[in-house]
Amino acid sequence: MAARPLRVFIADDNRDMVMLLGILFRSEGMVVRSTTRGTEVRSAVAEFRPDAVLLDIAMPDRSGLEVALELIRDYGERCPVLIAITAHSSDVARRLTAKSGFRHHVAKPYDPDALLKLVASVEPHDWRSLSIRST
Amino acid sequence: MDLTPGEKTVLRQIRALYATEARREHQLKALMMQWPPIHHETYKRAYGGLLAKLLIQGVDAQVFRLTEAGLGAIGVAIPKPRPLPVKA
Repeated sequence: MAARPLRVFIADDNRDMVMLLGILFRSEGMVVRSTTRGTEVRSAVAEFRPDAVLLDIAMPDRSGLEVALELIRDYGERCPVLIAITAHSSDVARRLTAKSGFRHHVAKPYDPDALLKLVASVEPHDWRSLSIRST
Repeated sequence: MDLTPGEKTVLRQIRALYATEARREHQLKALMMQWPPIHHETYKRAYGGLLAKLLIQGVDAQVFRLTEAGLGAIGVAIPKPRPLPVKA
């Protein structure tokens, strides 16, 4: 059976960034959904069921760290792969995103090819028989 | 305690830091990386508001500390000291 296309969810308050990332991932056959609002991520992820979630850390209505913690609380170890997108590349920033449940930390400005390679390396997520924890 | 929307946002971000590492002292850098550049001044003012309302206190230029009131504001229950047993 052929592998299904990867499903990628992008959350960034910068519309241009969302559009560019969307073009980048769709060019490789990935299925992309996005939002510019951190508060929408949780419900959108539950509905879209992505393999990878790219989260901007500095979103005005809900920070990427808060969203990551919510998703980890919802899905635990079966959370889709979380990728932090941030302008900060210090050790403090990397340690914080790792502790918040992010699998990868991508610092801006990023290399589109490297980001594409990173996302393409994500294993398809098994969403079957996965129920969201009630909060 | 009345908090402005900005102060509530920054307090929520501090709660996220506390959820990541349950300790009172945190790097200001870790908090500020959650601030979108275009709202940086607004959040900086809100941070000042939290200092003024004694929910946090500056340890030094890089580190801030949650006060007891601050811990309460982010929903962390502070255990009350047990009363000493009274000797008969």
